[in-house]
Amino acid sequence: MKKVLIVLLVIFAWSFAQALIDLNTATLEELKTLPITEQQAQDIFEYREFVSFFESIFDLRKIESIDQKTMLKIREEVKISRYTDADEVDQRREEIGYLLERLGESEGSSEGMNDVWADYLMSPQNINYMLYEDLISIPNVSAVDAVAILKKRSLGEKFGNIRDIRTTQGMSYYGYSNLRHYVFFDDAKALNRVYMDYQFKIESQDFEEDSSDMYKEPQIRDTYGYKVYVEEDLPILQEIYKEIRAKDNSYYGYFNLDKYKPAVSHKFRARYSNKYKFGLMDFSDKTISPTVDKGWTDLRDDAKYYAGYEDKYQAYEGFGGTYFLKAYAGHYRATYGEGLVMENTDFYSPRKTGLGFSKRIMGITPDLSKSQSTALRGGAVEIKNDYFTSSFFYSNTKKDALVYMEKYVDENDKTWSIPVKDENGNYKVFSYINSTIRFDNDDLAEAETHFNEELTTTSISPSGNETGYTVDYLSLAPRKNIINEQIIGGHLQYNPIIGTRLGFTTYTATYNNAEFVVPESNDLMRLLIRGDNNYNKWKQPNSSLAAMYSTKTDSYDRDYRRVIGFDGGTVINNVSIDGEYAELSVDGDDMKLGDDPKAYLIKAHTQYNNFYFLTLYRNYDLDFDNPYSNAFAEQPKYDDTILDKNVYALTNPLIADVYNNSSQAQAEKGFYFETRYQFHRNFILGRTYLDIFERVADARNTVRFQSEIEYRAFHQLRFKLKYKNQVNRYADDAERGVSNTQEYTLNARMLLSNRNFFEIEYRYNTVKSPPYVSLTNPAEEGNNTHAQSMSYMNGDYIAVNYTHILSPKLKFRGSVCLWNGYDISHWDWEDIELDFMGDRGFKYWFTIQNNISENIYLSFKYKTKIYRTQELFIRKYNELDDLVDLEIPTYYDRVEKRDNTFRLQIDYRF
Amino acid sequence: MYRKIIILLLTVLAVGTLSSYSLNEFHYGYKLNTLDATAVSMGNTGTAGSSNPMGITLNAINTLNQNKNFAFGTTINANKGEDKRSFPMYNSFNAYINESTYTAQENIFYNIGVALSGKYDLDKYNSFGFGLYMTPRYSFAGGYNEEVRNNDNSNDDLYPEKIAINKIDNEGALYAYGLSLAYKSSFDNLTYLRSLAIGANVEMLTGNAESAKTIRFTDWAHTTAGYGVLPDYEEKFDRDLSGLAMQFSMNYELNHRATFAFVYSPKTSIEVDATNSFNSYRTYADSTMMVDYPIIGADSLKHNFMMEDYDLPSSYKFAFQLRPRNVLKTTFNVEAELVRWSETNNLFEDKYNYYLGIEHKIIETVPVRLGFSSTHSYDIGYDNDYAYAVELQTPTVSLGTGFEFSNRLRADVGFSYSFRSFETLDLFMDEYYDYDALWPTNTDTNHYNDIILQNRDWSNPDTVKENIFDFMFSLTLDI
Repeated sequence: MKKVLIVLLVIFAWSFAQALIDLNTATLEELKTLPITEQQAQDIFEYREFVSFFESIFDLRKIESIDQKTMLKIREEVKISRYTDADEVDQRREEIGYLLERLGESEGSSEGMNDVWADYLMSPQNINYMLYEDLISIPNVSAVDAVAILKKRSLGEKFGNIRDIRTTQGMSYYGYSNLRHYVFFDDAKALNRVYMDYQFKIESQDFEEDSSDMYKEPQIRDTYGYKVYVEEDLPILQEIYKEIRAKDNSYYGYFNLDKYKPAVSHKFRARYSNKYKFGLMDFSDKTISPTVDKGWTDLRDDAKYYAGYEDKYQAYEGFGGTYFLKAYAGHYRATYGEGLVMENTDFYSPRKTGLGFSKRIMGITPDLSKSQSTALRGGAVEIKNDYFTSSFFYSNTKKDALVYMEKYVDENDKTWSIPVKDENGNYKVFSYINSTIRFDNDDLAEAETHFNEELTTTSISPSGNETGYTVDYLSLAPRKNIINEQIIGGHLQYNPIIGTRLGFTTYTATYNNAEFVVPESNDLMRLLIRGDNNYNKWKQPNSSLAAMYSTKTDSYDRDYRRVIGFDGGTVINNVSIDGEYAELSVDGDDMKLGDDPKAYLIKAHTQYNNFYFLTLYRNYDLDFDNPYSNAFAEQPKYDDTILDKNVYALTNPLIADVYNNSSQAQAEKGFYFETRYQFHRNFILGRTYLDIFERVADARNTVRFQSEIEYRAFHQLRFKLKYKNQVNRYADDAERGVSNTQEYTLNARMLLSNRNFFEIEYRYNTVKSPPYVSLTNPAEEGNNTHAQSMSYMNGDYIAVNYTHILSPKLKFRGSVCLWNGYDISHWDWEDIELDFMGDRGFKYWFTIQNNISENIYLSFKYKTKIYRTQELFIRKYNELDDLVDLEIPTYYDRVEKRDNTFRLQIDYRF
Repeated sequence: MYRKIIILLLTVLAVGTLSSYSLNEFHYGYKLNTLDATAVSMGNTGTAGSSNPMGITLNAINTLNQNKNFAFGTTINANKGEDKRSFPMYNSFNAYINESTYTAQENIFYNIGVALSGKYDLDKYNSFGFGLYMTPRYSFAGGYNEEVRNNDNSNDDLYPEKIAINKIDNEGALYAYGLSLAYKSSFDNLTYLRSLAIGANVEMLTGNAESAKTIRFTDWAHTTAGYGVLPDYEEKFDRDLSGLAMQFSMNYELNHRATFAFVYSPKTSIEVDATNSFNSYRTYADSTMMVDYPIIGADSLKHNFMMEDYDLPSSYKFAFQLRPRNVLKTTFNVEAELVRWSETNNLFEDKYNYYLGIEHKIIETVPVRLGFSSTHSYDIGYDNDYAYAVELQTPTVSLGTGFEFSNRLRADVGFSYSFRSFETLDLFMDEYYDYDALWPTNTDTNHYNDIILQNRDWSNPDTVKENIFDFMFSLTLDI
């Protein structure tokens, strides 16, 4: 009996011990059985559910209603198990959170490539199978790094952990620290599950200065130049000016582009592991209706989507080991070599070296970027192994184009501009266009009719002559989705030894309803410029417009555009050499090299742990007109042409978009050198480059130099001194248009505490340039030689930036900038915008970055820019005298402008 | 009581068939945010859950979200509106370059709302909620002051002569007196359903809007043009507004973290009982005499359509509330609303509004609330006999916090800032001031300085830029 009692006691004690309540798993009812009040039980429950799991009993003291006494009272009755509901995906997200955050922020400048990187961050690739292209597509991993990895693998060594990467001979620390986030090792478990990402973005839409000027340019009759000396003529002219000074005589007023209307975009991506992928992106803006209101046709043309499959499989022995297969249907991007033959993006970025932060992702990748003009839609397949890479792509899309128009007067006497068609029904096209706003074709036609009414109006000049334009209607206009374009292309590559490769790329774009026609010089001038008084604006740089590609000329007639190219590269010790040669088929033999317009680039990159040096030479022919190229250049194509500088002289201001949104490189030839050198523990020679090149269009020479020295006093304090100089001049004795820009920047960064970061920057710049009337206020008329009238401008700004990390889940940033001087550029910190600031003013912005939960990330940015700028004075109150008497140019001294912009982005990853 | 409701319903039906205009910001009042400081600071969200008694105006089911069985809440709102009007400015090549501001307004208005909310648990699973509230829905208050000047003296850097003062003085609001009813059923042990709730708000809408628009010429103008020439102008509206509004809601609580809500507000007709008067005066040196209406240019000042009945559009609101596990104890609200503007006027299109709000508790008793919303509304512009739809889009950013005085009394403050820009016609057309004597003429043969007074139509409209600051202070007493 005694034994039974002891057993019962033990069982009782055991059960009592078992009865300890686990604070991390107990239900509310169980918590209520503790010797605490109901409210306290509720508070414990809420803390666990909505704040955090308990890590120790002392966490109870973080709850307001639990005092020390209560904690001690229940201490013996509760236990705390190690518990978390974050699965491995959440943990991974936590690990790489800051990288995802960084990718999310810089979306604008990286053309949608961040999606691909984000995928690889979330489900990394196995480093023991990655090929050369996979490795060099990762940010900041160089060719030398990639070869180091491949060589180590070729010796039969396997990578088992990140230390194996670190100890790889030839691997730079920089490459290692970036690569490690994107790879896993054999023993790591592959995450086979479905991932979904949804991104919602709403932002105010603003126009850059170029676009704003373009849309504001009025379409008016040819009368504003008259002066009145006879009193009787005044009423006539007043009547004329009353009509032509209507806001709706410009695209800006007609479409009311001033109206605040935010752009909304939705992006959804789903994938299973890294194998099956699906994506959809759609957006609405000032002229494109919201996704939910779109019909199927609109959605097909405006939205972007893809479905893809990526996998590796083992081939039979002797067939090259592991093969990798990629197949995509829908929208995709194709990038090869140095981007001379094929790199389809609408976004131009200067000095794209393909190294460091300006990387290319090689081969076929899915595309949900906002590119429209060079988007490819169709199917693409890529098969590759250690020795061979082959990819083929097919695209069938409708493209926007700048189309020739003819005049048509309807029964109501309305003058329409309608697209010209030849006898075969083909549209006559001037060029592709990537419009800032993609107006609906019907809306554009209505607008053109409205403008034509003004352009066709003839007037009588005071001297009694009838006036009017020779071409009195809009003869060249953009049209949305007008060209049917089919592209077939591919890339073949052979890698004889590790790091060495020889590749061949080609594509042919066929047009079954359009012919590209670019007239000879004088006709071209008359096509683009309205009014013979503006013909003197036609200058040498415009030869790049005359060199545009035509499918129909006197010597040939075809319906396609074909580009072929070779690329190759090798790595010798710590030097990588890469290059590409491309040719556009015009009137030469397709099979023969050197007889067609060509472009080539060669670069050598030497890398040490604390030093690199890049030498690059490029040489592009003026008539190498390949819309799908996105190669290294200092300037985009058509810089300094009439499309850039004299929008007001154009027959249709919208033509300027051919320049504004060009993603092609300007025809340049010259050397580019870049280096970075940490020569002391505390001193770094930051990214330093020297670019010496000639603009082919007019043989203008430019030397551009930039350098920065950083002094890291200690971890929390850094100073940076930056200098930039650019000189443009012509290689003759006439001293035409020499300009010299110098810029000095001093920057200090301070980590005030772990939660507070402070940065201050001061920049001073000077520009010496030929007179530019609106800047020199005004240049003296008559007797000006260029040398005498060189203008000198200077300006400066001071800016501070402050970050406060309230918690790892909530971060505030703010910045204030104050400036004085024309056209100083300012790069908003860790942000996507390069801002050119006019005259004087100030701006401030703040962002809130907020992790709502493990998988919801929100960022909000608000910016206000207030600046004063000079405007030509014309109106006191409905006053017209200055038009009548143009001899006295007067100015509104300061006109204040204020822009409010915002951007809200929510990312939901699940 | 029933008879009254039937009469009301009949009135609504009868009014619904009349030609009517929609309520809009400019002519018909400014739509006030819900007078709930918590909701306002979270981007006007709270439909899927707000513990502020004023939150019952968003969704009747919020009566069940109060901390205690009974709650009383009141909110004071101060609204500061900045309004800048400008006309288009052209350069010497006749290109439109910018806007030149000619008048700027700054007005401050106050509103107050009260709510009483209660809940009663029928048993462990079922509860019943009820509430009463009074809140202003639309404010008609507005003030405008414009000076008309010629350009005399401006060359010498002196003030030009003042010719007239134009004024608009509006007052009044449309108030809602509402009753909320809600019912919730909870479930145990269901994986994807914790509770379901339905609710309804019934509101009597009533209010008064007074509007006065005047043009007074200055003494200088009377002296210069000669007495008895210039007509001063005065226009008055007095409108009594009434209607009955409904709101039906349903909440679906997935689990203790996630709640979905759907709110449907049917179209509401507002009956207008208006009186108006137009007067013109000519001033003589020693007396004032009324002149017959109409006078030159006065037609363009009339807004007869303001006297007609109008509709408020129906809307569908989808809301989601999430309370994830976060060291900052977080509540996250996202809402989307479809407003069926098209059913109130064929010039309008249906529009979507977005609302987003976050609450973080830095410590248990101190929340930080942030919010953003992007909303649409419409205005009607008139040019002669033609009506134009002016679409207004308003982005709003907001923030706020709260304090607990005791466990029964707490205060919340919310602040929001909205900015918007839109085009509209000149409020006082220039033709009215077209008297030669008031505008200097320079007859120098080489330099004319004539000013042509012309009414700017839609080819040269005004641009209005508005900054709206809203401050809310809510007091909540849990009983």
